[in-house]
Amino acid sequence: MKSMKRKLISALAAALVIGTLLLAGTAPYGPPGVRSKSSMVDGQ
Amino acid sequence: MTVLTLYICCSLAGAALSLWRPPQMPRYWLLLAIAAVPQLGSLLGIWIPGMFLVSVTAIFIWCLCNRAVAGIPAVAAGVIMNLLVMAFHGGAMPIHAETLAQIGHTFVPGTLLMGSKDVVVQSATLWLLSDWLVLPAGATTYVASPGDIVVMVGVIWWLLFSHPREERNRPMLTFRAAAPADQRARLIPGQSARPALTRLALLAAASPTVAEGLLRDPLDAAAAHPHFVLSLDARDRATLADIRARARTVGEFLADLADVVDGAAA
Repeated sequence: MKSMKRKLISALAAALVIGTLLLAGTAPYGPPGVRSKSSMVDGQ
Repeated sequence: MTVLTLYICCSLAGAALSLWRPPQMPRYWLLLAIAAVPQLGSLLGIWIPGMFLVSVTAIFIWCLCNRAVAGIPAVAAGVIMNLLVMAFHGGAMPIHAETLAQIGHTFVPGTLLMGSKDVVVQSATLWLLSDWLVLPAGATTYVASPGDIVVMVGVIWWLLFSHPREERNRPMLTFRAAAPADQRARLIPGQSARPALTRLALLAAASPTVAEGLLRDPLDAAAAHPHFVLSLDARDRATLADIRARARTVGEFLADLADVVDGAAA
């Protein structure tokens, strides 16, 4: 029981690390949609 | 928010994998959280000047601190690839208008895309590091950068090949000076009529330092080795004093002690 609890905590921590890491370090493109025109880039 | 959904799916898959094999947890989570906040902001359309630099600095330090963890160097390489090209485009990931056209989306260059960190460009500096790898995933299609793939490889590497620190450092053999109580209770003194002296003799025979200490001064020897618990009764103490008075060397001391234990001497 204690071992299972420990594994669950470890899994939760791993999920948090992966989620945060992907959020911080990756930039894939997902669905279409326009937020705004950019003023800081000229597209060139 | 397909990108956020993708992140959540990857996190859940990683959690399932870590249930089977717990990975070594990286340290300094706060740095990772600091690095993620500006990126989350850009996903939600909140752009704060200078925050990209904060993100880069935090994740760079985090990777440096955790470089010994398996997979993290690959993650760092992927992140650097992504952040490098993003730095040339004001903190946004460039994606070619032509790439978007391939998957049926048409946008004017310069458009920031909702729910992602991307900006549409006509031509990009370091275009090879931008989003151009089209990955169909069921009903939707993702466009990833080579850096994204390297990060994913690093994460999988971390999940599969890193081991928790306590498991990795577990010694093959441990030495315990004092036996646990239950182990002591199972000890059989043997045929000797002097069980305490028998143990003392075994200790002295096993360690010349203990033997010499006992010969010179038993009290000092006991103080120097508190982990060896032996209680000698008045008769044992008298016998030990007698042996010490007779013996001149450690060898003689051990021989006399052995005789007493064997019952050859009184």
